[in-house]
Amino acid sequence: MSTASAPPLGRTVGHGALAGAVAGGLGAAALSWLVEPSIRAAIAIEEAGSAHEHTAGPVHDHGAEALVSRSEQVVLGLVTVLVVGVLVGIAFALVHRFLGSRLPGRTTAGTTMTLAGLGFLTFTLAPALVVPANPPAVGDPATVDLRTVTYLGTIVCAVGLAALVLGVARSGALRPGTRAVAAVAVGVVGTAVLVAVLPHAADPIPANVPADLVWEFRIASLAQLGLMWLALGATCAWLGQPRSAPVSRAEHLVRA
Amino acid sequence: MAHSTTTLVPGRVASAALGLALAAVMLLGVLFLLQENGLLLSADAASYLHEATHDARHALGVPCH
Repeated sequence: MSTASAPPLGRTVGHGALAGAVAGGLGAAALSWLVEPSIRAAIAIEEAGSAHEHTAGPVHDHGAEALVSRSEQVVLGLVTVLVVGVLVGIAFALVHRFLGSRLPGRTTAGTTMTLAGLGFLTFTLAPALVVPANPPAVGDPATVDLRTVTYLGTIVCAVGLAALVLGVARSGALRPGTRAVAAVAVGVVGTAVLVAVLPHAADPIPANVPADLVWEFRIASLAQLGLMWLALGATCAWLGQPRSAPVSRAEHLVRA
Repeated sequence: MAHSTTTLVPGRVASAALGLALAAVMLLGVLFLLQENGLLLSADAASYLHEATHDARHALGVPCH
């Protein structure tokens, strides 16, 4: 069933899960240290706002009726990031196993980091530009369906555009110079078309939420996600290194 | 030679299809965890999942109410 050269599928899944756990663990740490302060501040604004609205009740029983207590929510949020890291890590390793040879990069580690960079661009940066992340106090329940469809549609379009750019960059029908120019042109024009065509679904920021808080949250969220992609790529690349010949690698390094 | 290619290629295609299907299942798992709002789960279970994953949903930049 399995070929002689390729490692078993289970090892790819295992490497992906391990790399995903490293990325998820670092992501959870980033969530805890970078993002949670903004979430706390936003929840305080949210609760002050809702307490102001329901002035009839003297006791604000938000905590009693909550399904999940705030402390549970923080811990479960960290667990969620870890689980998402593992799931994405397995998918990442499998995609790299079957499509990695089509990616730019001379070594396995190179194509792994290329895939991690493409993952950040298509799954994180593209939707973040169209539907930016917001802290809890921002967000209109009436627009959540449009935002979700736009968010997922942006990821699909970005993956499609990245595949198109790579396809043009590898096209055998064009000469190398033409190929590079065509790939860049497809990337630039495709991005411009997507920016123009995708709906402007981002919610307005309510007046009681400071702009500083929203930007701190967005930067922290992007930092967390960027760190997760970097850790995922680096760990996968390290795990995918040939293990058997440390001496020849050392010789290679000495010669270099 | 001919024998080895005829056995290798379908195996490799099946392995690639299985692997990429598994990758898709993993991404659907992420979608379920971060975007399940009552499509598959009961309303109570969905709102519990929503509250439990709430901080991660916001931090990971996924649209939320």
